[in-house]
Amino acid sequence: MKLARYVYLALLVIVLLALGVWQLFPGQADADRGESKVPPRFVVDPDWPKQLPNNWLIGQVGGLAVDSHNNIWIIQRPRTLTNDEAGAVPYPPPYFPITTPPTTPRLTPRSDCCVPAPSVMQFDRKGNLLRAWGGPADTQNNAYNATCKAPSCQWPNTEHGIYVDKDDNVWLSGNGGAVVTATGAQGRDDQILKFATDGTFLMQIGKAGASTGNGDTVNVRQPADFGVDDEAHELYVADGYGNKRVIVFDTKTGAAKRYWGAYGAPPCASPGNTRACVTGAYSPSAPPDPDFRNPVHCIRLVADLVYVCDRVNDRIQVFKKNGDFVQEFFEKTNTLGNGSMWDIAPSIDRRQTFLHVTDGENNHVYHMLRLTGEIVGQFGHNGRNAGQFHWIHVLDIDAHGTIYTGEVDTGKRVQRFVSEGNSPDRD
Amino acid sequence: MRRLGHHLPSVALVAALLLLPRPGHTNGGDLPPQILLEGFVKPEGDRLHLVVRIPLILLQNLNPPKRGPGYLDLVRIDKWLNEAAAATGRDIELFEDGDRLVPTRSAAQISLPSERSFDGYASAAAHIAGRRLPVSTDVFWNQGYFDAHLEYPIRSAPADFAIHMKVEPGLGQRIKLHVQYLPVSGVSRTYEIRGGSGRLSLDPRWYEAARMFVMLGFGSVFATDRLVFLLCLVAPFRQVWGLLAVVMALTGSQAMTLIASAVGTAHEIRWLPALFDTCVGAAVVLLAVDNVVAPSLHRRWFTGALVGVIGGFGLGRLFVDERQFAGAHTLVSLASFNVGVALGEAVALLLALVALGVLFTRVLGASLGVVVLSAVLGHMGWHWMIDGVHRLGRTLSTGLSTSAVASVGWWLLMGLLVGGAAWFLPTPFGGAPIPPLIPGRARGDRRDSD
Repeated sequence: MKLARYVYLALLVIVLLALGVWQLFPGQADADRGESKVPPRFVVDPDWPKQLPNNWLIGQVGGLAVDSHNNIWIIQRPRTLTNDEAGAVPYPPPYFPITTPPTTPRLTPRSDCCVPAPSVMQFDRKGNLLRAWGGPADTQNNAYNATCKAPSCQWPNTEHGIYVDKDDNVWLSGNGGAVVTATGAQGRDDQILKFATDGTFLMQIGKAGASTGNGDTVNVRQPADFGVDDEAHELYVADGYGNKRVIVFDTKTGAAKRYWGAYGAPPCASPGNTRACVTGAYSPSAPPDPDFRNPVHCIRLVADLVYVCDRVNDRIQVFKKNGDFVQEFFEKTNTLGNGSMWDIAPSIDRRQTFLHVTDGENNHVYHMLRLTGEIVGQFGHNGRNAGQFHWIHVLDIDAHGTIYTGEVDTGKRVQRFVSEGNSPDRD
Repeated sequence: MRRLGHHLPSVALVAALLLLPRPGHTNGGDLPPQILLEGFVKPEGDRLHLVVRIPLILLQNLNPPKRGPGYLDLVRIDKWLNEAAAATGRDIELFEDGDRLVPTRSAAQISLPSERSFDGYASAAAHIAGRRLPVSTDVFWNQGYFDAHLEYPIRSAPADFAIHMKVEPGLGQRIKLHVQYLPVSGVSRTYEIRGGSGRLSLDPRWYEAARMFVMLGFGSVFATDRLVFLLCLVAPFRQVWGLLAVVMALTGSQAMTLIASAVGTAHEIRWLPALFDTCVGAAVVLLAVDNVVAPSLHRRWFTGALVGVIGGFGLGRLFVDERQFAGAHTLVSLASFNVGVALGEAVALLLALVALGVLFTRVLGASLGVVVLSAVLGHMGWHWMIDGVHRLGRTLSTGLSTSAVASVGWWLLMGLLVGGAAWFLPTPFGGAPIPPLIPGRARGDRRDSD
C-alpha cells in the first residue's frame, strides 16, 4: 500500500509539471482575449427587470435609452394595454382614445392586475425601477403633473422616442396621429419635449398638429428618435413618421439649424426639392429610393458620423454632421412589410467596431461591421420566450456592453442581454 | 446549569433571529442606487489641497436658490456655494499625522453634468478657479455638480495623510468617493472609498497596511458558508491537533490560490464563484453523510484541501478589490491577509469546538448531536449545491476558456497533493471519531490496517 501512495504522488507531480509547462506556451492564456472581428456573444438575463411596483404593467415600448450613468430609460405606451391587461382599473381609462364603435365601458376591476404605468421609466442595471413619470397614466409624480400642462407642454398621443443627454435632460417624442379622448382632443405628434430627470417640464419644440411638412423648421412631424451632440449642443432628430428628413435643433433654444433628406439632398416636397415624396410600396428589385421612406426610424451619432435608419428601404445611410452623405448599407433587402433596419447601438470597444441593429420584421439583432456594413452575427428569433422577440423596436447598450431591447405590437416588454467574451460584465 | 442547557436551543434561536440582517432601505426616493464623488488630494508646500466634485442631488438638503421650473439661480448662488463648501469640509475629513485638518480657504463652482475637467487635478483646479457658468445657464437643481477646492494648512508635505468620508453616512456603500492622492514624491494612488469605510491612510506605512489586511483576512473567514463547512468538517472529532492540521491544510491550499489569484488573472474567471458555491455545498453534503457513516480525519485532508483551493480564488478576488488600500506594500498586505485568514480559521475552529462541546454535552449528547447537526447542515449544503449547479451551468453555457479550465485544474491537483500528505502524517494527527449511534459502523482512521 505504501508503494501505491508513492505512485499516486508521483503521478500527481508528473501531471502538475505537464500542466505547468503547457501554461507557459505564449498566447495560450490570452487565447480568448485577443482583438477579434468576432462580435461578443449575448445571453438573455431573464430576471431583468424586477417586478414593477404599484401593480403597474407596461404597454408597447416605443423608445429606450441608456444614460451616462448606465441607467436604462424607456418610454412606453400605457394606452396600448388591452381590457384584460388593465384589469385592475375601469376600462377604458378616460385618457384612452375613443374608438369607433366605442368600447363598451367596464366600470369595475375584472382582475387583480394591472394598472397602466407612467410612460417614462428609469431602471438601474439590476432591474430596480428608479423613477416613473409622465403621460396620462401618471397620477403621482408631482414634478411632472405640476409642470407639464397644455398648451406649453403637450404629451404625445403615441409615445415613441427617448434620449437622455450628457446633462441628463430627457428628450421625448411621439408618432401618433390626432386623438380624441373623453378628456379632450389633441393634434398629431408634431412636437418634441424636454424634461429634467424628475419629470419637470423644461421645453417643447414645435406644436401638436402644426407641421406643414418637410420644409417646416418650427415643427417636426411624428419624430421617431434623437441623438445629441453634447459639445455642440445640437439635437439630431429622425423626422420621422410624417416627414422624411433629418433635422438639427439647438438644445438650448430649440431653434432649427439645418436639415437634409436621403443622400444629404433636400428632402422631398420641401423648398429645395419640389419632387413629391414616394408613396408606393418598397420593392427590392427597384433602384434605390432617392428619398427616405416612412419612417426615418433611428438616428445615432457614432465617431463623428450620423447613422440613420431608413427602415422600410432596408438601409442605413451615413452622413457627416453637416449633412454631407458618406455611404449607405443595404441589409436584408428582401424584407418587405415594416423593413429591416429599426435601431442602432454601437459596440463599446474603442473603435466601435460593430453596430448592433434591431430588425423588428425578421425579429433579430444583427452585429454589423460599422465600416463596411457586413453582418457578422445575430441573436434572437421571432417568439415569446426569454431572448426571443416580437416586433423588436429599439435597443441601446451600456458602458459594460450589455444590450437592452424594447418591443412593440403585442411584444410589450424590455429585455436585457449580457455580453460574454469580449466585454466582461462584472457587476 | 441543567436548566440553562435545557433552554439553550431556544435562546440560540432567539439570538440567531436577532442577529439576522434586517431588510435595508429600498432604492426608492430621488437618490440613485450609486452616487459617485470624484476628488484629488495633493500636498504642496505648507498646504494640502482637496479638489472634489459632488453630485448636486446629494446637496438638496442645503436648499440651493432656484428659478423657473427648478433651475439653479446662479445670480444668487454665492452664499449657497460657501455653505456647501463648509459642509464639504465637515463631511470629508482630512488628517495629518492623526490630527484633524481645518480648511482655511475655499473656492466653489457649479458645473453641468457634461463638464469633463475632473480627468486630472490640474484641469479640475483650473476649472474651479476659472470662469463661472453664465448666470443664464439652465442647470437643473439635481442634474449638475458642485465642485469645490479646499485648502488646509499643514506642517509638512511628506506627512502621513488620511481621509474619512462622512458624506450622507445613512446611505452607506451607495456612496463612493474616487479620490486620487498626489504625493510630493512617489507615485499617485487612486482609491475607491465606500461610505462607512472609516479613516483611511492615503499613503499607508507598512504596519498600517499589515494591520488592515490582517483584520480583513480575519473577518473574511466568518462568512456563513465557510462556517457551516467548518462545523461539518469538525463535528465528529475532538482531536484538536488533528483538526488544526486539517484546517491548516485547508488554509495552506487556500493561500496558494489566493496568492495566485491576487498576482495573476484567475480572479477574473467568471464561473469560479458558482464553482465555489457548488463545491462547498457538495462538500458539506458529503461530510454530513460521512459524519454519520464513517468519519475519517485523513479523508478530510482531501476535502479541506480541495475546498481550500477553490475558496482561495474567492479570497483572492476580495484581496484584489481591496488591494488599493495596500499603498506601496502589496506583498506585506498579501502576507498579512493570509496571516489574518489563518488566524481566523484557527479562531473559528476553536469557537466551533467550544460550541460543539456545549451542544453535545448540554443539549443533545455527542452521538445524537453529530447526527442532528449533520442532518441540518447537510440539508443546507444540499440547497447550496443545487443552486450552485444551476448558476454554474448558466455561467458555463456562455463559454468556457480552456486556459481557465487548465489553470483551475492545475491548482485542484495541487490541492490533491496537499491532501495526499495526510498519508504521511504521524499517528497523533489521526484519531477516532465520536462513537456512532449505531455501534460498529464507524471505521475511523485505522492506519495500521492498510
